[in-house]
Amino acid sequence: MSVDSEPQAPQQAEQGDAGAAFGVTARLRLLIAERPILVLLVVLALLIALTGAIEPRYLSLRGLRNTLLLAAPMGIMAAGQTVLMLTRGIDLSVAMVATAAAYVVGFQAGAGVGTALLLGLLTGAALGAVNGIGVGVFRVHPLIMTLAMSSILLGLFSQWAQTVLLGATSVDPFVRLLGAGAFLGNLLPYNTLVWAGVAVVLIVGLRSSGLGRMIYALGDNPVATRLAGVREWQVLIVVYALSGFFAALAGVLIAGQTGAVDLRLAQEFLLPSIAAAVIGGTSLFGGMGSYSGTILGALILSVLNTMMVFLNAPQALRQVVFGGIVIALAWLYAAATRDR
Amino acid sequence: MPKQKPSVWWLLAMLAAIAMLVAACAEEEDVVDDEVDDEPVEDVEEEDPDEEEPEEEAVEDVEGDFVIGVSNTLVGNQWREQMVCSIQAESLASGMVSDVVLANRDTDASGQIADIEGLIGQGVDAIIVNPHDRTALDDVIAAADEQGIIVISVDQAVTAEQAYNVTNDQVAYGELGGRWLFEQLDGEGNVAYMRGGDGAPADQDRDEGFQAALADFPDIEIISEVFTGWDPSTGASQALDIITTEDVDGIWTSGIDYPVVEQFEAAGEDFVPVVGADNNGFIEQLIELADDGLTGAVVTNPPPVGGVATAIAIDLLTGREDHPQDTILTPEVYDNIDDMAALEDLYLPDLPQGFVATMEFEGYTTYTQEQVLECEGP
Amino acid sequence: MTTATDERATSPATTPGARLQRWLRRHGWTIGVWLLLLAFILWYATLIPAFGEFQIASIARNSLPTVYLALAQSVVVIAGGIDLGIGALMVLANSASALLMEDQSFAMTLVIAVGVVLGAAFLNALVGLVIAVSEIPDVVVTLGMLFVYSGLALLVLPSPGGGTSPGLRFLFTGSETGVGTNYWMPILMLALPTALLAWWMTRSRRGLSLYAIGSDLGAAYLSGVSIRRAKVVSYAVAGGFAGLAGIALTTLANSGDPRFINALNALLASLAAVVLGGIVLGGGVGSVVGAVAAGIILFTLNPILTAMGIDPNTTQVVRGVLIVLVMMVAGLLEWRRRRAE
Repeated sequence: MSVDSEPQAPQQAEQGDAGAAFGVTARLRLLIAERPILVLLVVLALLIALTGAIEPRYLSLRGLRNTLLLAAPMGIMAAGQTVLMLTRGIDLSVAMVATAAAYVVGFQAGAGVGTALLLGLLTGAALGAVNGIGVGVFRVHPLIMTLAMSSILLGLFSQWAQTVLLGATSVDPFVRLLGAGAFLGNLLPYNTLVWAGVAVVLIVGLRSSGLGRMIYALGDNPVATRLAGVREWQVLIVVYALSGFFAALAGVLIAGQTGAVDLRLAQEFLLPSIAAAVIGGTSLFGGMGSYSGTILGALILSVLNTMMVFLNAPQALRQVVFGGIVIALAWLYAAATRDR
Repeated sequence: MPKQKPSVWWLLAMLAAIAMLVAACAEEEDVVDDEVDDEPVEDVEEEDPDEEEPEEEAVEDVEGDFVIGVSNTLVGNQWREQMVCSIQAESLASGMVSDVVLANRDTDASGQIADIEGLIGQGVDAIIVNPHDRTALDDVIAAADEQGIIVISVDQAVTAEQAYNVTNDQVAYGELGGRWLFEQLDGEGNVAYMRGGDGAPADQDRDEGFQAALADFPDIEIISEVFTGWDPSTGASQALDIITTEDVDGIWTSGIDYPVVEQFEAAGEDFVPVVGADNNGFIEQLIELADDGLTGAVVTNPPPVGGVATAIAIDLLTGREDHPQDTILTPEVYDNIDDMAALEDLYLPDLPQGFVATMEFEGYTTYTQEQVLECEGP
Repeated sequence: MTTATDERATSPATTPGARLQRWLRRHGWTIGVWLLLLAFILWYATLIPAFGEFQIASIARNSLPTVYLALAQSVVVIAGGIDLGIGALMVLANSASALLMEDQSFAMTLVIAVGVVLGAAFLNALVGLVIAVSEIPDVVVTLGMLFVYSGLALLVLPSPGGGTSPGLRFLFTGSETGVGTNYWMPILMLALPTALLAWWMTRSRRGLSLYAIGSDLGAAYLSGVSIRRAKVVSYAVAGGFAGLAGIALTTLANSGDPRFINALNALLASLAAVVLGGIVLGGGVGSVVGAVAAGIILFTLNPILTAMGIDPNTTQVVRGVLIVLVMMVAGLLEWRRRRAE
């Protein structure tokens, strides 16, 4: 009985479900399995249409801009989660890492924006690397390691926010522009540009770099990958550092959008960042998924949030719908890909 | 086989390590404590030869040796931090308090009951509590009262009859701000109503006041009602959606104000009147953007209720002055049309946006602003 | 290793000394955690001026919700899953029971309590069923349920309120007002469900099947364990304990509180208690008895650090460091063990 029996891929259980009926459902299922992105696009289009039906003025270029503007930080944060989930990991510290980075940028404002931004992003990567050491070297479960990191950061920054960081909450004009501004007739947000950059690097990197392939391999079959000579812990430190880096980037953008740094700056982004990756079809069992799905996941959640604002929905309804959508999409995706 | 045995010893070794770690943290505190505790004793010894002096000194010593416990259930919230700091500052400034014991963590009502029980066990003289729940603390407050401990609830009233309540009038907060906004719109227009946390008692009180004001203005329409959860980033995204797509003439916020104004600037929209709280960042916007067409009003919600409660606790402990069971502090409204001077007076240019600008409460608190900022207790 | 499954397989022809050694080895972690708890309580006793019945009663009754929730999480984790919705289910049970029990007689509140526990078990059984049928990872479904349960709690009870009967409060807290020096009742309420669950997990077929699917899904399937049923059972039992935690909350506070933050805090505490208690995330290893001690430790840490006058924010840091340290040591131990084998 090895302790190493990590959540095994459940395909082992109950394989033959039913004789596949070659009807419309089977073809639909094939379509979903082959092109999960299509399903997400349809869901996104439906949600946009529904939101438009509730508030017709939403269906405009400005409405689209808002959606992009609000989805970008979540999408960037979810980039880290996507990469981690590919290796069967997860990061619950992203919200606090994002907040920490935003504080560092504010604190270092005197050194010039460029330096401050660089230091902030490095802080995020360093904190992520610490997570990676805990998970990769000391074999602490990622949920626990990142949870503890989050708790430690909250404690430290609560203290510092009242003392050394008291003046660090104002946001540099450049960061504000980056987080909330837009160009091309105020229609294309700058933060979406950043997001696009992250997306290109990630999608290309995961597909064609050596590290990308190692990430997929590690999630798919850690034992075989280890036996093939890959130093698992090195890969893990790198991916957690990446997650920290993306969280820091998101934190800076959120600070720019909100206009000030506070201790709970990114708190509301933690669970959506995980949900976006899950909705996008990244399996928490590792080895499956892509960032393009996560992008759509972030857009779907962003439109959903906007819809709830227009519906004047109470928090209760918002939460039930949010949870329901996560489960429903995950189920649809799982049902479609099960027989592969 | 023997190689697998040590898990118990490992754990014990760890226990020792952890104990040392925590003890190391505590040692610093101990040193400070000792210094404070020792000094009065030395004083008494030195002046012992004098016959009359020691008695006076002793009386002073008894009076000035109160321990105040604080129970708070929300960490990382600027308002709450300032409330706690005002307790520390007032304790220090009064010179009557020897120690402030903080039980301050994110928890629920049952956790708060446990915290208060812990404070009772430590033998504090008074407990200042920011209640998580109106009714849940009734029995533990009764238990504290039986031990002769004075309990003061701040920010929100509790139902326990033994407790003193020092609160900001949240109903008035909702009503005063709402009324200002509706009058500003000449009683006609579309208003976005950006509430606080769904289910939070303060939010419900504010809603009661807001609805009362609304009842007097039949031509005001609430076109959007959202819960910010008092979270700046949530409020910012909701505000962006509302101001760019909906036809709003005014916005009432439950204290998430500067992120809302920020969205007008970012989206390049024309300002509409905004009601917010006395957050430093909002006051700054009201002053600096007045020429760009921003009108708005600050409704104060002062965190110094903590300091006020401390002052009252000391009065009650020394028997210096009696206080009514309920002290309700009515909010002030300052807009950037008629009360610009008052706003400039409130504004703290060196402090962060999230800082609440009202730092003192005349007639009660005796500390200086610096003492609040240092946030050091006795 | 520490599973009860291989207990039977050991040969009886061993000396008492060897048997003791093996018992120590098998339950080393659990024993260690209990010793740690004992040390913490003794330490606390030296820290405050008056330590007595009141403090023992306070610790016992106030750790009830955390302990029940730790038990709930343990069952799911041992069976190879993880339940992120468990804290929210507790909040839902707390809200619903406080709403229903207000101004009711003792008998009526008892009936409602049973109903709420069964209802919570049923709801979570459905969650288990969804996971078993859909084969979506546990984390995803229960993450969704975290929101669904929280939303439902807010729908049931829009703002804090409600109540319960003095009798029920006595049953859980040992006092009709929820505050007092009677520590037997809460200790009994801690021990009884723990003992029952521990017995069921290690001595009954169904309980053992949870260890089986947690440690090796394929092997369990081949040896005739119905994986779906075991999964559903694990979630149902967890749901029942979450319901119990909710009712304990109601009796402690004499009210319900639907806020989301409570669900999140409770969830984090349950996860921390499970891993500190020696239950391995991934399944198959650990004892629910260890999680109980860990739950109480996590609770006792608060008054200890408050009594030491440590800044509350430092407390947060210390707790995080403590958890990481324990897990790192566990990881190192595991690594040494694997190298030794």
